[in-house]
Amino acid sequence: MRKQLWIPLVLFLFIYSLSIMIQEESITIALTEKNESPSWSHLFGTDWLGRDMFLRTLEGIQLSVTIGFVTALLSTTLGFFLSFIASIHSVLDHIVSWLIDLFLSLPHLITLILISFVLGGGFRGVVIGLMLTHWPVITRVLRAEWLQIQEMPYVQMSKQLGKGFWWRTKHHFLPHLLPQMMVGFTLIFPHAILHEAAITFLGFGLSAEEPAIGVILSESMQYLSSGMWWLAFFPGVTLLVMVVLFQWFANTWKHYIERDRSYETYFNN
Amino acid sequence: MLTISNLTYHIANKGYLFQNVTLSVQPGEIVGLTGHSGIGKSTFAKVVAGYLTPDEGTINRVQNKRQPHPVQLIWQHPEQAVNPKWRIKKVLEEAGPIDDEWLERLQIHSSWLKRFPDQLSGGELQRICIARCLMTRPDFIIADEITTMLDPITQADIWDVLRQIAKTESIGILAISHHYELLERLTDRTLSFETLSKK
Repeated sequence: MRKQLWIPLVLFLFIYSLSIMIQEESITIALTEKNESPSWSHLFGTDWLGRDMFLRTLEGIQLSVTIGFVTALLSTTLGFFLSFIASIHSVLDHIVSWLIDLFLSLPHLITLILISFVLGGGFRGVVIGLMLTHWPVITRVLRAEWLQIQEMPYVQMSKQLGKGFWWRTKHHFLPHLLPQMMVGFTLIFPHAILHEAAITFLGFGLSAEEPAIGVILSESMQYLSSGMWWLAFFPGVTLLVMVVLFQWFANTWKHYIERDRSYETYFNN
Repeated sequence: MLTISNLTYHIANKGYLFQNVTLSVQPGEIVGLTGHSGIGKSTFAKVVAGYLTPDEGTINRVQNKRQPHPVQLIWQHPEQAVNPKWRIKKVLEEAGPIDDEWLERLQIHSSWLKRFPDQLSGGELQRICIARCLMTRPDFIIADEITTMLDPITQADIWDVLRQIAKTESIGILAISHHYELLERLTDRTLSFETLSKK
């Protein structure tokens, strides 16, 4: 159990911190070494300008993970506030439910492209676009949980025992919602990374000079037919590995916080 | 004295559940309330204890802000009335600092305090709920079928203690039950909810 939790997290953080340490200046154009296939001096090969693909991939990973993290955080926060609003009054609940249905009825990618395009793309456009498309799923879960716990006899009783709204929020509602929020966060994270890569690949996301995985993949399209497979293969696999590592961690983490530990602590005392 | 006058409550699209119920309970008195299933005894209890707002009528005891309600309701199912994720200690502390006197009188073992609700039996948990209710120092208690799911011995135990407490602390108890014989033995007077809520 412990190993299942720590191995993916440590690997993930190791690759991420490795990518942070890389300076952008170390990726230099070296036309004498262009179009080289993978070797010990260039693990992932070089591109048509002689840039080292290993460094470029790590740079891209750094950007993708940052975007994923920021987006997941923003979406979860937005979901929490909307579900809170829905719990106040049934009219507000109808509005929030209607918004959820509206956003769920549109394909993610279409809305994402629209929002990102309107905001002019770039880091800001992508993050806002991802945030505005990834909140409905977690809001739906949190809203249901919130409505359910409000109806529980022990919560109604808390009011009659003289406890105010904030006390109930802190002691009844938040401890109940927090596991859901954490699970929601970990599930949005890889989703957001993949969508960022997709939208950048299509050309509506990050601009071409930024070293994002999506940019690398779309550029490599032109060279794939001439046999330069390493331009797309290694960045793609690295992105996949990062997503799988995080999902591995997320799944174990989910099981870990959902487990009933009441008996454990009782018998250990 | 708890005075309930002309209490009326209706359910949306279903008409009146009960109308013009008038009832009073003296401090230290145990009043029984009986009647068929589904005629609104529990809803009546919730209205009096402040969980629901009546359409008409008045109750002379209301909750002050951030104070416990002077009329406390004890629920039929104790396992729904406590947060399943809390230890018993925290459950009791929700009503205020733990008073050992009540734990002793209700025979609550101090080792239960660090357990979780699902590690106690129904009768034990119901006693926890009663203790929590008493720690708010209520003037009146509504006991809504509080011993229905317990065996006769536990039932007798709980009512013995509760009756004693009612007399010594002069807390008025409104006991709701289907079990007419129990109410006959236990209470000072027993009323039928059908007669009370007659239109």
